[in-house]
Amino acid sequence: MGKNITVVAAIAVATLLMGACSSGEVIDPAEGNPGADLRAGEAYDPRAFEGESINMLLIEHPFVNSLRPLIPDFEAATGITVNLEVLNEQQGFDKLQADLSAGVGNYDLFMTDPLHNWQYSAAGWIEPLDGYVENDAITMPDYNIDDFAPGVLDAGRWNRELLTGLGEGSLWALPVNFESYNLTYRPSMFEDAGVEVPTTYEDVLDVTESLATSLSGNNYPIVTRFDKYWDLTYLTFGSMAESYGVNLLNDDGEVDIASDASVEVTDLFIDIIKAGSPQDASAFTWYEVLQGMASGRFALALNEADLFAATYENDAESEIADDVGYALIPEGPEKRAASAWIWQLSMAQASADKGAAWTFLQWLTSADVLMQTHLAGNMNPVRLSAWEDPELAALVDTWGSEPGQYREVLEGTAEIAAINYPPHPELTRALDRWAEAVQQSFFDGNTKANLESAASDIERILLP
Amino acid sequence: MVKTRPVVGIPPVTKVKASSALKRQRRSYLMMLLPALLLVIGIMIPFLQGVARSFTNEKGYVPNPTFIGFDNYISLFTNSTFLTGLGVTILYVVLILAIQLPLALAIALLLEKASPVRRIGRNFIVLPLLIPPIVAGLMWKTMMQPSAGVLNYLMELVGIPGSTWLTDPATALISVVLIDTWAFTSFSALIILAGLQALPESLREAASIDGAGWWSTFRHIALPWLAPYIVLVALFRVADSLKQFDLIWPVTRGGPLNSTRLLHVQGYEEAFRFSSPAMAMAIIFVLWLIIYLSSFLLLRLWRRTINAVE
Amino acid sequence: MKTIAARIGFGIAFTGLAVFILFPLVWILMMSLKDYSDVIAYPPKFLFVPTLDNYADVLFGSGGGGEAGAGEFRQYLLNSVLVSGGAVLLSLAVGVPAAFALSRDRIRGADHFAFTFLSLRFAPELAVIIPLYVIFQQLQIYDTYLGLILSHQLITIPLVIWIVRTFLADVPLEIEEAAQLDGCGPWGTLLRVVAPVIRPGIASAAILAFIFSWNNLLMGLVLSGPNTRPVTVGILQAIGFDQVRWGWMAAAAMIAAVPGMIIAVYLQRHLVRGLTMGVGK
Repeated sequence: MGKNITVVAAIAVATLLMGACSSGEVIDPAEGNPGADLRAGEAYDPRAFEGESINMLLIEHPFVNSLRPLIPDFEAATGITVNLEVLNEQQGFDKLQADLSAGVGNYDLFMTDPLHNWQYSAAGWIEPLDGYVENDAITMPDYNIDDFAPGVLDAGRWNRELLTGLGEGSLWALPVNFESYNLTYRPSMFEDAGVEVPTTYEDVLDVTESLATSLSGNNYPIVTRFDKYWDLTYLTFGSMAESYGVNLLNDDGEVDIASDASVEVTDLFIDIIKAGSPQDASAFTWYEVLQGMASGRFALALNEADLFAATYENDAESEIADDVGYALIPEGPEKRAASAWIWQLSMAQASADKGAAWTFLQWLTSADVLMQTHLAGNMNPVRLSAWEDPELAALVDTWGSEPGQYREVLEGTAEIAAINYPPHPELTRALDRWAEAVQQSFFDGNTKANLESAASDIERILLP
Repeated sequence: MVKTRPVVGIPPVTKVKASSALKRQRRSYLMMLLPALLLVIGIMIPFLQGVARSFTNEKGYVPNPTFIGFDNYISLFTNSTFLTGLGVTILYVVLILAIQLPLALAIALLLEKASPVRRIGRNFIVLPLLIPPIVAGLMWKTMMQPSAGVLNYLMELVGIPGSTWLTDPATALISVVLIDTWAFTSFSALIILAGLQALPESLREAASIDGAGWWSTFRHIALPWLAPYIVLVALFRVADSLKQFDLIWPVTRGGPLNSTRLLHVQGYEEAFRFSSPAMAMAIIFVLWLIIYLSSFLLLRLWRRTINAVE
Repeated sequence: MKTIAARIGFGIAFTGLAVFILFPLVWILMMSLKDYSDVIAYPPKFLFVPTLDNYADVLFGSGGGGEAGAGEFRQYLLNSVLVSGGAVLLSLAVGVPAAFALSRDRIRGADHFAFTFLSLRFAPELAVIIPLYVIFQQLQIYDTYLGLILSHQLITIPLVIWIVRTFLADVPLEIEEAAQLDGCGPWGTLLRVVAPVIRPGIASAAILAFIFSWNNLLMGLVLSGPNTRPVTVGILQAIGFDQVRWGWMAAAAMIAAVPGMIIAVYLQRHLVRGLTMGVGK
């Protein structure tokens, strides 16, 4: 167990130390220390905000299902009413942005992530949480913030200096789960084709080609998301690019996505997809990946979310529960790299019931409650103590083609998982543009030119 | 009341006599108009405010927006995404007109005469109008899935190679046009059909006495008669296609690449994905100008065709 | 010979039209009656054991619209009825008198006013929605029926004014003159004499306005929240975390189309009449 703790703790820390590449302009630093004076001097009382009511916006995710049954307990214990609104990812982020920008606080709390929070915190739309966490009058005595994996927690910190300062400054969010990226494969299909699980991206191409000859009918060798949105370059393809030493910005703070290495990795990625994915692969989002893999039509999911395992392993939702294995994300010429995605919760600056909102937020992110959500499918845990829970360990240990396989892969992933991009409120736009260039190269083959044109657009977006 | 009367340009019914009764009447008429006018003004003021915002640098993370003149508009017209969107929008409208006008006319001619079968046809072509475009879009998207959809399955069954439909930039726009055609051609066909049915029998008889064939009757009698109807259809299709959003956003979100990113979709993304209301309003204002200009020209053409028929 | 060829030609064209229009509807109807494994089956299934589970799920299900609560979709339906119905009623209340005032050149510049109203119909919705979003928030009418009904006027008012005005132009002048001789003022003339005559016109305006309002997605997408979400936005919830609930979506789509269908069956004549917007009768 001891090893797991350090391993999870290492997430993201690697990149938190990067930065220093651009001085950036400071915008509107957080004033005062909100939350620090709330009920000052009194003892913690869960019913202190009795009778108030809060609204929370959630994005559809297993976390939400795991949370729902727990709400009545909270309402009974605190006398606070919690209204949940659940939207799918696309609609939810649009709605949230509209609400936050109007500054009226329809949503007191919401699900978010570092990438989006760079936008929200830069705009001053969300509440720094340090004052709340440190205030004993409103935070339960055994909350223990130090129990969070430091890297995961610190991904919620940013000093709001453009392109630097991640992990420094105010805490804008508390994490509820994280995911990283791995290989998910079908042992039976690999056996039939006589291939081994790939360990490098070159291997992936070889394996894909072998699988292509052995698979028949409506089955395909490989699936991965390939839409033209930021998640491609931020997460899946992003992991691969990182392992080829390709970065959005180089050490001198210049946009560096049109380098030779970038062209090489882009072409290889496209070759893999062309060799082993259906012709409509360019429209695949993670929905298609999860659904396609679970339906048994694919032999290998490349660089996809490890927490999909919870669905794959569930008999009711998956055809492959008895025939699925996991492996570490492949290695590139520079290193093995995996992006990290962290779902977090934040509080709107415009919230009218911050006391009640915080009461819910600290309850929900407390060790006990998070543990209950993990057991109900909210993966992967963000508190170190969760990994010591025998029940959770027993559940996860059954996943994979042999006992402990998923867990082992997860531990390996955690050592390298990191946020590989510098914070900037317009990063989604920049990453969208990069993804567009990757996809365009899939259609026209002019990789170098497409990347160059994207690089110059991104320069305008991030470095005006 | 047999004669068709255009709405626009009806001659005054009563000569104006200046009397206090008439003045009172005038005031009543204004009072009748006022509530509607107020509502419309209530809607237009925010729009003008929005246009004013398009001359600022307002963005989510810019704390105090300042006036920047035409900078947003200049950057639009030097920005490849916007120019692509503009091109795609215009291409979309052209395709819609080129496909839907002849098709609507053909459907109207097909269903024009009285017969039981045609009556059934007149009933079922109304159906697409009653389906919300978002439903039509998702419905077709399901059928158009290249590897799992029913369209490619059926096409391959009869030996036609399947298409990439919405998943390839080369075929996506035309696929959306196809969905649009399903959803809105009925609207056009019904209008033209109503025009055909209003064609005075005397005109037709005159043509048949002259021994004119079907084509010649159509060409010289029906088509000129239908001109105002066809222009009206064009007016609605041009305006609605220029601002198409409901069909596109749930189906392609503007992709793949920017192949279906019409300006209305781009405006939505600027406003609600990238928190740039100023840029969004600049795009929408340009779009509004284009729509206003084209509908103004078509309305003029419409009046002229009506006068010609008279 | 010629007539046989013509008949065959007609047969082919008519069948083509019928397939093009009806196949998607039939396919989506079939999909709404399939269970999940039949929906995702490949090759697509044309024969299957039908089930009403999807409909039950939409109307009563606990897991229905994504993770939405039980019967949430029924609330969406009610919301749509209230918003579209309210929008049409408001438009009639202000639009019919306006159309009356704008007919027969009662007011100078009537054509200009009429065109201004119609041009709203052509305005991109976002031109109004983006600014309205902020204003509604300030006035605290965001996510209320009132706010949505007001914003839907952009869709409904132009239709009502234009269609009603068309019908008004056809009202025999003698009727109005007789009313005036009886001592009716403009309001009396409109309400007691003219309105009953143009009832079909008002009906067709109301129907068209209702359908366009009901079908609209963008207004609801931005200006509605959990309390007023309409069906068009509710259907989007078929896209969930782990799957697109095709069967659920198909059933919801079928249900969403019901009001339109009912209208079509009963009032089709008026519908078509309204569509021509006064080019001809």
